[in-house]
Amino acid sequence: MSFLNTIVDLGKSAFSFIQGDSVGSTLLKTIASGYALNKLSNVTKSNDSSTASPGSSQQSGTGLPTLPYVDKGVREQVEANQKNRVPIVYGTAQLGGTIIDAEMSNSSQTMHYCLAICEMTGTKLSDDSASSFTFEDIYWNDQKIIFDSDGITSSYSIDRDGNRDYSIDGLVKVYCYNGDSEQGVVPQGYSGSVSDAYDVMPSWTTAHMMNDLVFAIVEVNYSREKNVSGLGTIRFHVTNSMTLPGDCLSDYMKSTTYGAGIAATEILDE
Amino acid sequence: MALDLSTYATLATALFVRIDTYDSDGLEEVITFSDYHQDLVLESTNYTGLGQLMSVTDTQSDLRITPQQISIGISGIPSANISTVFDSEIKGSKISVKRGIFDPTTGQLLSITGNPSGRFYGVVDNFSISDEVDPLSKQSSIIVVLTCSTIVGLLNRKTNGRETNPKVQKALYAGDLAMDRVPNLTNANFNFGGTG
Repeated sequence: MSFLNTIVDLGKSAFSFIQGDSVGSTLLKTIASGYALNKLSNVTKSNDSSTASPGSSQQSGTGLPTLPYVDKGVREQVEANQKNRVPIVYGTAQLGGTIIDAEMSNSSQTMHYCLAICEMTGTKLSDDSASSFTFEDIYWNDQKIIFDSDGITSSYSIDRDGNRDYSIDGLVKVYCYNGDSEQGVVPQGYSGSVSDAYDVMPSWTTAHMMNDLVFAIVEVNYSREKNVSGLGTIRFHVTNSMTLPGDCLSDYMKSTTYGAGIAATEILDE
Repeated sequence: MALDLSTYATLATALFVRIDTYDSDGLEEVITFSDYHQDLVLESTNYTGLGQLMSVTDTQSDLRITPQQISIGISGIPSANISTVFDSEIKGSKISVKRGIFDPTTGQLLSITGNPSGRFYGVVDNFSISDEVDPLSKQSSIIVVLTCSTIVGLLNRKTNGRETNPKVQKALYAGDLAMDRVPNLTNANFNFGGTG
């Protein structure tokens, strides 16, 4: 029994040592709590790994149940302003567009942005035909977007050195319009049809016409893994068929929307 | 264009003012008058002779187009006729001032190329009305001063371009709701991608 009594005495001594206020017991308690915290931290890190998905829950290596993964998203601020003016393009230009509407849908996983790019210009004086716009290229964060065959869904982006970035693959869609919500076009080099703008923007109706505007609707699908979490910097390379100086001057002088609004009868344009 | 007047012994000149405006019923109305002392017909239009009751400030000749203003004063209008001044939609009306050269003996416009010549083309920018009371006769009359600007002056002040707000969009295209949400979107935040 003396053997067992010795073990019990040792246990009592160790317990009273830990319970004590001595420097040694405090050090031991600190080490023990640090170790526990370290184990807990490892469990949390394992839940943040790339295999985790929003709403999922896992069993940690310790066998303890963990809380579901919650992606808090990003705070996306929209730069809309009532004082912004829609620019006019004659010839070719690269523009970023002015945000006039933004909507979130699909349980906050999809954003639609409507960007007014420029004014639709009038009839050309030289041949009496209506001017029209062509979307040459579209750039996402200074990289040219290469679309799928539909001319809407992004496949990848390409930088100035020709390096490809597939992070936007399928996540970004660009719908282009040339005049109003029913004049959808695809960028040059693509073929396909574009749905009417009021069928793309979630809350738009046929009363949302965007009359006489060249504009685009950009659909962004959230992906934290691919770092697609907002509109980014988008630029449109557009070309107006109105390029002759006489056509441009005449159009600008006559337009009551964006020009001088001079009556045609007061201009000798022959 | 220079006018060759060397063959005429005596000459007289007058300024002819034409205002294209609208009356209180919205109907087109043309007001014509001159600073000649009697009525004259110029280009098939009769100009009422106001004589010294009309005054026009000097105009300036420039090689290039410049934004100028002139003032045209009409005095001696009876107080009873003040409503006529107010009823007319004179502000914003087109105005032209021409100088005519004619024979003072016959009162006929000289039949030479370039006569009458244009002095000023623009719009009525503003007008002011002031009373002139004669205590002796116990009568009052009104002076109307029209401030006129050239088209160039107006273009310099013009602010153009479509603002991205519902008021402007609906003024241009009634019923277009596309920009209705811009005021609410200014500095709005979206919790994009949030699942919590």
